[in-house]
Amino acid sequence: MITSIAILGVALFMPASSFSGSVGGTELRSLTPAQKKAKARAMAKCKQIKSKAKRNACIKQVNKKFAPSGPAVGRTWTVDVWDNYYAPGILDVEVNDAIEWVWKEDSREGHNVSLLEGPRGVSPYDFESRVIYDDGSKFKRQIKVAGTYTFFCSLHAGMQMQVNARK
Amino acid sequence: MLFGVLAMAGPAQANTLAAKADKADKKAKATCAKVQKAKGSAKAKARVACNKAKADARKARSKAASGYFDVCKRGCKYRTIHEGAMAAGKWQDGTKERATVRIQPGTYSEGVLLHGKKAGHDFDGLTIMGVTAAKKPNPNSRAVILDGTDAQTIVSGNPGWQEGDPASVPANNAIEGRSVNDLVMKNMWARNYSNNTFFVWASTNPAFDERCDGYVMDNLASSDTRSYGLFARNCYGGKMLNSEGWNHGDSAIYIGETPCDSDDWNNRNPANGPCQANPKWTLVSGIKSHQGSLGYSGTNSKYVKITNSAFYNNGAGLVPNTLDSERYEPSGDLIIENNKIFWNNLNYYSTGSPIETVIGNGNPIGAGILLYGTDGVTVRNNEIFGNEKWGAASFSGPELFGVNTGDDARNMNNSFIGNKMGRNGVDPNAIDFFNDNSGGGNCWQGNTASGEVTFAPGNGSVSLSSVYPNCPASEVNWVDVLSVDLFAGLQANASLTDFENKAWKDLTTIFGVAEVRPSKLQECAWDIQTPHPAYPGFTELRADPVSGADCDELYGRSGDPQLPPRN
Repeated sequence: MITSIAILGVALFMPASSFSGSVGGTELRSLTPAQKKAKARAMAKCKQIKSKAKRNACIKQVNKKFAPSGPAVGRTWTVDVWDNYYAPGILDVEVNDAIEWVWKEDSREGHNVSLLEGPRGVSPYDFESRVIYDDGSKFKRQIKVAGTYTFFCSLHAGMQMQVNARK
Repeated sequence: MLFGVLAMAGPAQANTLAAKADKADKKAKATCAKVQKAKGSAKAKARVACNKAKADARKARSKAASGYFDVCKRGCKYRTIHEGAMAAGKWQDGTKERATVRIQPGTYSEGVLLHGKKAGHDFDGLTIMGVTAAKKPNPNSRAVILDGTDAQTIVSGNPGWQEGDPASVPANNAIEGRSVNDLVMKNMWARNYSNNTFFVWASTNPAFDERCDGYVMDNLASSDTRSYGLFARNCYGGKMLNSEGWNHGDSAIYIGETPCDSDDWNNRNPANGPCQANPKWTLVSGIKSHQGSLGYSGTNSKYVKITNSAFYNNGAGLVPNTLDSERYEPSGDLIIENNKIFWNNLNYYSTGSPIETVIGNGNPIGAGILLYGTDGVTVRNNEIFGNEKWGAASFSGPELFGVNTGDDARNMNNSFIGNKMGRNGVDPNAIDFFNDNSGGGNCWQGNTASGEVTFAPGNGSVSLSSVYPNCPASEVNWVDVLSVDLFAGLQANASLTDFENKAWKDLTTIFGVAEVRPSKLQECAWDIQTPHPAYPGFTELRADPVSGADCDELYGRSGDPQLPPRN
């Protein structure tokens, strides 16, 4: 894990203060377990219908009935994950925006996204990625609660970023 | 400074049901033995007791059998290690007993993630081991192969996973144990994983209250990964035993980020006391680590004893180090004892290297041991030979040079005692010992060679006896010493007036070694012996030699009269 033995030759790359954002519209809201069960039961009934046309109509109706109805995602913001830093290091978003972390280089140690501090009511597991090593990998989560979020890599404690989410 | 008593992690919790069954068997034997001796009505009573004890033993044996989860390609309940391990985790959660996943010979293309916080699962104390077709522990670690080529790891259902996330991902590790205590992994060979083979760790996020403690890795083989082999991070004591690792882009053995009792512990204030008041030591023994960038690496590693192992054909043999990138700086409180450390001359910066290094420019190579900013490492009774730059070196990573924020990487309280250098004159190191003369409290005593033990002399302005004092040395505190020394000419050559541009030219200094570019040109200052005298059981491995023309160019770049000799 020698990363900076090169005397005088290494300066830790600091997170950029600017940010890149991209407009997205991905629906992240999913059904509750109870809704899923109800949907499965309805689907099972549909599949018992012999007429293909009626069966398809039934399926369509069920899909429509159980379509996710949560708040739509506003923007999807992209955060680059580099070896030992996130870019941007600070991000201002609105509630219901999504953040997509994108790994930008292969890493020998891997990095993750872990919620160090967040608003009341937010579980750290809502924002816990696995350890990711590979360039191009992604991790996406929706911000549902306003407040300040501090994310860090739990393998590299100094690798942190902050998200300010307002309503 | 060695704090506390050397107490290794205890043996992992065995399958307690099996132990209970063994006990019941013994009891039955003893009880039934009384039948023969008894007479009259006592005999009948003894017979009843015997029958009951036998029945109890049968029950216990039957119950113990339920703690085994057999994995094989055909004829077993489980066909993948993941399936077997998940079933075992559920069983443990329900019974509160310890299970064993028994893997029969074959090649398994998968990665396995054991998350200690997974709902409905308990992986603490789980044993995952290669067995023979007869389900007996398999001494041949190469019979059960975990192969990472195109393998996937199932991640769905783990904490943090949500609908919409991929259910499986490319396998970065063969077996990853996160927040699992007393995990035992034995008798397997893992290869071709993109990052590591056997990986245990705990998140540093305080919200999760994770812990990794008491792991055992025994009789494993690890090869062909981008990063590490046997890999422990943010773990308390454990064991890495009787295993072999090769062809890793970083190191076959890694133990780092050893946790302290307090999250903000450091060694800067003597009042802080030790990192762990009652340290849990990790034992590394019976290891063969070769053909890697490093043989052993450990950033901020502490309480590790490395013994009876061989580190050879690496870029550098053992490299405990202190870096900002992980918590609990610095590295220290290590014992490196009774090892063979030789031929660590793999110039992975050069063409023809059998490994693709993941280590950046500037890392010293050609050395048996590099203590980088460590506090309290004992290097004792090792055989160190055939390393073409240094046998063992110690140096700081000064904040002044932009290397370490907080200046935690100070070269202090290390001792080199009773090491046999140069294989009795048959295969000497270029220079046996190097010290950059920074820090303090370091000492050298009783090291032997066929002739004189050799020490890097520096520019002569500081006597050898001052740079390499005898042991014991008075222990120093962080506040008492500096990480910079420009007097002895060992950390950097201060006489080079154009400091920034010329320092690379003096490869007798740690500064020069770290700064020379391209880094492969470090080899220009080696005392190369090709081939080294034969050493039974081992074959020397090198990359393409750096050309003489390249070295001539390095030394003749400016015709600068300040240039020192090569060595």
